Formats: sequence, C-alpha cells, structure tokens
Amino acid sequence: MSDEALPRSLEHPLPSGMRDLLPEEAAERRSLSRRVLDVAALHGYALVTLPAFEFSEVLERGLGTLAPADVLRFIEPESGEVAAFRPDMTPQIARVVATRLRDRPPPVRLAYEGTVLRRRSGRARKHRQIPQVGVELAGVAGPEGDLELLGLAAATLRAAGLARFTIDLGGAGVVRALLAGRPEAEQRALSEALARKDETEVDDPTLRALLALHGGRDALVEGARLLARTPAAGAASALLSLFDAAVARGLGDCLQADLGEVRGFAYYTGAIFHAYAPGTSDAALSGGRYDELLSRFGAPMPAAGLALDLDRVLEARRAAGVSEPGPRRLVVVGPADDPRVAALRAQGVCAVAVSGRAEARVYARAWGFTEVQDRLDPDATLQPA
Amino acid sequence: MLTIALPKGRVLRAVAPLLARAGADAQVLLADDRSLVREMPQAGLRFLLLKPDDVPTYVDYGAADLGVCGRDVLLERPTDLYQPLDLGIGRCRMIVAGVVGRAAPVGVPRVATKYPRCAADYFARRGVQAEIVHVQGSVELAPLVGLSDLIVDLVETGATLAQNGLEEREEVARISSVLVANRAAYKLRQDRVGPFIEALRPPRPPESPGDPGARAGAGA
Repeated sequence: MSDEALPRSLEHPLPSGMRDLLPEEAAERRSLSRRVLDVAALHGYALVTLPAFEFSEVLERGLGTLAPADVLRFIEPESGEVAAFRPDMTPQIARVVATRLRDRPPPVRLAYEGTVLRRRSGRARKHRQIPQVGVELAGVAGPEGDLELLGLAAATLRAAGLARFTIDLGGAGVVRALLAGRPEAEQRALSEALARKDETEVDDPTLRALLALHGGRDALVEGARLLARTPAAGAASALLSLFDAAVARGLGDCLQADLGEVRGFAYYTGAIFHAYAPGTSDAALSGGRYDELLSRFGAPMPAAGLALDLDRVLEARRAAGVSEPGPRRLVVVGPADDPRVAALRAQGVCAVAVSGRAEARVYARAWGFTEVQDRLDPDATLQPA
Repeated sequence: MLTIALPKGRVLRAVAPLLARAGADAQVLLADDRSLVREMPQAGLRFLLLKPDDVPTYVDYGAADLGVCGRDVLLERPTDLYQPLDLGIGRCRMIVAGVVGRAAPVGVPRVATKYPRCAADYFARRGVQAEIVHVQGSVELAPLVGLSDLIVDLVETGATLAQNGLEEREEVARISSVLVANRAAYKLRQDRVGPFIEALRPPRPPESPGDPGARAGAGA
C-alpha cells in the first residue's frame, strides 16, 4: 500500500477539459465511430484524415457556428504564424475539396473522424475536446443533398444503437429572407435572439410568430400560410416540401420541425437539423447546408454536412440502456509460446498467455477478458475470477 | 416529471404564485425548511432550490429541464440556453452609480461590482478604460471608503443607493427574471414543456395590438 498524501493522478494534472479514455471507454467509442463510418462508407463517403491544427487564417475563414473566442490559438514556431487547433473539421474539408481534390468531378462525398478543440467562455466546460465523426457532401444542391444527409443522419444514429431520437428540422432561408435588407448589426441581434427563442428581443411580429411554429408538419403548414405574402414564402414552402420528401423516405417517425430554429444562422444557408435523444443535454448530431462555405476557399459549390458528437451519442446510449457485447477475449494458462494462443489469434480471437492459473484469473478480471482457458481441452474454460 | 431549477430568495417568493398557475404547490415551494429539492409527484413537478448563479448551469447540463433566473446572471455568464419566456418578475435595473456630488475622476475610474464582465463590457463599449474591482457583496460601501470611484450594481427602487449617499449615473441594462430551457428538453419534451411555459405566460400586455398572428398556430 502506498503512503503518499495524494493520489498519483494529481501529480500529473491535465489542462481543464482534457481527458483520457481508459480501455473500456476507448473500446466503446472506437466501436461507435466504426459503426458510423461503416454506414457512411456504404453511402459512398470516403474517409479522409485531417491535421490537428492549421493556420488560423485558413481555418477561421470557414469558421461555422462558432465564435472567434471559441478557438484555441498559438504561434506556430516554424512559421511565426498564428495557428489554431481545429474547432470544427468542416473548414478543413472545404480546404481539401477546394485545393487537393479540385480536379475530381463532383459530387464530393467525404467522411472524417477526429477530435475538435474548443474554448468555452461561458459556463463550465472551459476547454473541451469533442470527438466527432462527420460527413460532407459537396456539389449536390438543395433538397436532393439535404435528403441524402437527413437519411444518413437517421441511419448513423440507428447504427449507433439508438432506437429513440428526434431530428429537428429548420431552415435558415426563412429568417434570411425576412431579415434581408436590415443593417447587419440588426440581423445579428435578431438572429441571436431567435436562436435563444427570446421573444422580448424580437420586435417584428412575423419573426416573433416563428417562435411558436414548431412541432410536426402542422407547424410548417401554418408557417407557409403565415409567410405566404412575405419574402420568405419560397423558403417556407421549400422547407415543407423537404419535410414531406423526408417523410416519404421513411423518416416520419423521427422528424419534427421548427421554423424559428436559427442556431448557426450566419453559417447555414438552407436546411438546419439537430438530432436529440433522451439522456443528452444538447444535440447529439448537427448538420445543415452551407452553400457559401466553399466559395470562401475559392471553389464555389453547394455543400452540406453533418457531424455526430460521439460523447453525446454515448450518453444517449447509456440512458437508453444500450450495451453491445464485446468480442471474445481469452487468457490462456500456459507459456508465452503456447500453441493454443497462436491458434486462437489465427481465428481472429484475442488471446494472451499467463503462466499460472491464479494469476491468469486475476489478470483476466483486471483487463476485461471474457474467458480463461486452462487445460489443453478447448472446452474447459473458466470465467475470470 | 419536469425538473425546474429555481433561485432561492426574493425571486422565489415572486415566482411561486406564477408556478402555482402551472400546477405547483406554492406552500411546498415556500415552506421554510432546508430541503433543496421540493417534489410534487401528483403534478409531475420537481423543483431544485439553488443559488441564482447556478440555475443556468443545472439547466445547461440537463440536471434540470427548465430554470428561472435573472437576466443579470445570463449577461454575466452567457449560455446557450433557450429563453422562451420573460416572467415579468424580479424587475430591476443594472446601473452605474457614484457618490452624490463627486465628479467622475480624470483618467481611469475604478469600478466595484459583482458583475465584472458586464461592467467591463459596458465601459469598453463606451470607450472608457475602467479598472474593474470584483467584490461579492455590499457593493455600495466601495465608493464610500475609497475602494472605487463608481459601482455597477442592481437597483430596484434606489433606496439603498440614497441611504448610502450614492446616485445613479447611467443605466447599463434592464433586468427581469426569465425562464430558461434546456435545448434537448425543449425539443424532446415539448408535450410537457410547452403547456408548462404557456401556463406561466403573463397575460398579454395591451401595448402590442399590431401582431394578430404572433402566437397563432403553436405547433403540434
């Protein structure tokens, strides 16, 4: 027993918001991201791997829904330039599409996996690393692309093991049309108030009416009627058509709508969607259309995408009681060169040799092995101690 | 079951009658015991009694579905929460005050406040460099004993200011209590959250006749 005054972990602290995943958690998250990427791959989305940080001037050109204060920056010693840890991988994809994949014919279907880093200036969670898996679809405009992504959103959440989730669909086009012509500062203030659903800050009756227009298809029908004689008439009926088309593709039981949802207003140009599941405090998946993003990188092209926050998906899975049985993992009682070990590995089964029986059982339990194989007889297995 | 985070103290007394309209038992809410959780199983409601500044944190993390907090709290530490309803209670103003008759100093004024971020933002917006001194309470004392030249604080009637020989100089913000909602709860539990919010909604003020469509057609 140790007689140290402090637990050992306190001797080597981590910066606020950073954390490790121990084997069980890491295995769970890895298995989740693999399921999601497998679904994306089945839909033709090819995996790309992107760097952890980039020059801030390039990365922040495509800063989406995040405020500049959310970005962690430092001086990159080699160049003396300001670099930023990626707070979002979409601008990186935009850069890749606009530069290195420029010569390939659209549509571009890319998937990515990685951790983004954000400073949060508000409440707790000061710095946060968010593990994401996402996809981007460039070169397919309007409802065709939106439907592909909505379908993919539902497919990935189902593959993640979630039976119950809600995809909340909104559209930036409605509010954009209603705010057009107002001074930029006013547009920002109003869209922020709408994003908070703070009706006291919204003086315009049409905009304020949007705050009550959420729920099922009825809300969109009502919205189309209310907005029929406004500049937003086209956007409102387009959203209703998108909703109907998504229902026709089998998303009816998880889809709801919110005409007043403008989170990320400055970034999104069309559909905006967020998926929520019981047990999470915020969206487990977010996505939408940002047709102006790629032009910021010199390759104008319609684009849309979505990203899953793996931590939130895991929270939702735990809340729903989803657990998947892990693979078979064996401890073989025997010498390191025990032929049974090699045979098991050849069959794709995890196997480790431990010389003593008692030690094998202790080891198996500590490290999450499923079985201990003691005798030469392959059927004579024991449960870990 | 809906979980609602409430601030202990003055606002709790003002909000209890409103919550009664939504099915809460005001006597249980205001009962003078030390319990931090007040359950009303028949009404499907549970209330958490918290320090005002902690309300948005509980709601943000989803430990509470809804909460009641002052705009001062949200201004000082912004959050991403929905704020679907101004409750029209806890009204007061955030102001800059100084000692009666004493002119503002030349150069960089020192400002004592419980709201360092609001104060710093306010002076920065006006192009005034100010030294912000963060204090936790008894803010009115600071200019009287030379800790600061000015204060930024909340006033309801101005009586406390007058008692201490202080006067209002400028208004920083108008404050009232708002209902905040967790995003996931708002989206996933609209069948419970929606009617609860509507029950708390104050009768419509008469000064906005020009928006007949404003609340028409609440979604399914």
